[in-house]
Amino acid sequence: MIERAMITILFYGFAAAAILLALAVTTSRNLLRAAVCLMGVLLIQAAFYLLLSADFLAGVQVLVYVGGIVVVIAFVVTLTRSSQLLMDHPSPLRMSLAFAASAGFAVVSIASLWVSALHQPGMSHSKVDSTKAIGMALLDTGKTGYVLPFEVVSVLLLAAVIGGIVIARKTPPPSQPFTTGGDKPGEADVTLPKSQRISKDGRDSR
Amino acid sequence: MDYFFVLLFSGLAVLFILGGIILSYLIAPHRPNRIKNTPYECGEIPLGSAWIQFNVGYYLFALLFLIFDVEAAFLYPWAVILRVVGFPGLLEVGIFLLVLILGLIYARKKGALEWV
Repeated sequence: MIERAMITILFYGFAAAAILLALAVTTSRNLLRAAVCLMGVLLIQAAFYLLLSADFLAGVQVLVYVGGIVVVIAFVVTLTRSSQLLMDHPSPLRMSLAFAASAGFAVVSIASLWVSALHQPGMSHSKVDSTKAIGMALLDTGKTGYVLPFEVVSVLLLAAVIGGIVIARKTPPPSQPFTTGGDKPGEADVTLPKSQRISKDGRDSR
Repeated sequence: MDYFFVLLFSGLAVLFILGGIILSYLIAPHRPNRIKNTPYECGEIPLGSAWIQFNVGYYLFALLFLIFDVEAAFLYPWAVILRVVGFPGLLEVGIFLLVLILGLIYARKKGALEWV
């Protein structure tokens, strides 16, 4: 009984923190600060998974979302000319449209959760080892197993590798090593020896 | 609650950082001047804005890291039941890894892993 009460208190505490951090993500004018707040939101989401006894999902959340996706977002932030983005004040029309769209999304998602079978107060969660159960289900070749989707995931990831390389790559000049640049000033001098190049990460090669 | 100590640790970590910042704000003297307010750059006079555009190459590496990060996430459930599933499981994971190693070979052949 005490544990249930504690879980409820923790849930509301985490929920409040998640909402505050999510607001900080959307209202922050500093993109890097927004990315750090997003990291907080995703960490709290992992805590929600733990409260639901989904240990594995919480681990994956930290490993992939907090450790991976936010890192990619942080890199994208450092790649953009953030000063330009910060000056971009949206017009009142765009702001109200965005507010209407997000409010509509909130209403639809709350309504669909309300009527769905997921909305069952006091639903007890089982105490099975979720990682073990997921592993058994993934590698099971029987009728209830998911071994084919598991293998197809690797093909999907392969497509992501190839797609990422193809998109991030610009056409390299012939007999030149692979380059991701070429379309920005300072990157065209890739043919120069390293010492004469304008350093792209800001540090001079002295 | 198996994760009580994780919660305790996170709470203490936040408290430690916030406490340090707030305490130093409260007890430190505040006499700023122009030179004190310049960013510290190892004694040199800072040049330009702190916001610089990074090499696009970082993005590609981050993207590749993310994909193999997801791959690693799929290996954990297998590692937990390694002895239960035995050789058939090893075979299934082997096929999974083989497809992704093809991706790694592709990235290597395209020179995506070379730093430019």
